[in-house]
Amino acid sequence: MTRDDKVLRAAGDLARVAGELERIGTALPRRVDADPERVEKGLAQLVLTLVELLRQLMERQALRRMDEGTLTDDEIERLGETFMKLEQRMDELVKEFGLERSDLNLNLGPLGDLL
Amino acid sequence: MTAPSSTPALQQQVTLLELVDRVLNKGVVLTGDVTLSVAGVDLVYVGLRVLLTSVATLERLDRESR
Amino acid sequence: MTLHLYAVAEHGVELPPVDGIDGASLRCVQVDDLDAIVSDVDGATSPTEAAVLTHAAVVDAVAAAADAVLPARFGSGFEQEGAVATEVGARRDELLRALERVRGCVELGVRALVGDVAAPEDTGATDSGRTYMLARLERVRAGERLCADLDSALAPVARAASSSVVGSEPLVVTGAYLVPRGDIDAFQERVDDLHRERPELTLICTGPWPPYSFATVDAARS
Repeated sequence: MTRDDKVLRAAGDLARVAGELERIGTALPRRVDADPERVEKGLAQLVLTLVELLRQLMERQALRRMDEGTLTDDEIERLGETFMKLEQRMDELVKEFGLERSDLNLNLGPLGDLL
Repeated sequence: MTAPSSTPALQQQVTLLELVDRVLNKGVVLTGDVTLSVAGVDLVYVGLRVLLTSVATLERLDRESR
Repeated sequence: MTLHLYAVAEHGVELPPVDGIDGASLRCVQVDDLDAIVSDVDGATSPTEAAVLTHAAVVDAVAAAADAVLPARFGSGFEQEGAVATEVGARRDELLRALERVRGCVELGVRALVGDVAAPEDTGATDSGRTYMLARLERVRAGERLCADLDSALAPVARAASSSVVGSEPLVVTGAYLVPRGDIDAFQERVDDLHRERPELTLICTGPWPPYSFATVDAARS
């Protein structure tokens, strides 16, 4: 199907923008077929995507409270360490399932609007 | 203002990415019930009760496959 | 069989001579003074490239012949026409308001990307949680500033503006602007001005799109 080119203006590294748009999840959700091994991977992808969504929501909430000044220094420190650890653990889990972080950009429909 | 690094292929790629973003992430949602088939799993949204619904679907799929 | 929804428009909208997903014919479900444009699909619609492109092509074609269209998000499935009618009927007022808001307008999108900001120096193990949080907060603020910069440059030539941060390493900000058809060139000039003022930003402007980002009934509040 031919498609009109909708780029009206482009300044800077267009390839980089395209790369980032793909990475942050504007690409089509990847299809995983029904082969048993891949179904597991597809489910892992789904579960980890939801976990990542929750992690981002929690972090966003914490940052908001930090910005408002309603967190103690101790709370900031502990939250920061927790989020760093969660981030690391997420990297590990993703690798364990043979995925990439960008695989966690499944389109979650209305749920994705929470972010 | 179009940069020399921009090529027709790249512009097509960006056009597609922008299009997909709009079609999948924007646009009016008339009902909380949106069904998307992702990774071979049907996600049925009933408002925000998506987690319960998809777990139920997974359990049913698991039962059916035994 | 379920019904796939493409768009909502005013009753009497011209159905374009194009097919829907999987070659199905388009039809209208009339609800009072509104028309819902649908086609029959087999079960849940999978967001394949072909289906997404078809959805977009249908919305584009409808928008080309109508003054006001509300694109529907991909994935709205209805068991039968009655279900469509119920949902459209229930949101009638909001939908009419949204149609008025987008009348005569297209959506123009702008993405701005800022290169990586140097990570703050590690001030020591005991401070690392706090350092992480401060760095994240600074990122959030940088994003908010960039959104504000985009909007102050571009919102004046738009009927409505909606910008948000969509990525943080590197910082990527998206702006969607509802622009009357006659003002598209003026908008482009503003984008060019912005590029001159902020040469360090990677900027892309795309469009014209049907008003996907302004079709939501939530957006009708802003």
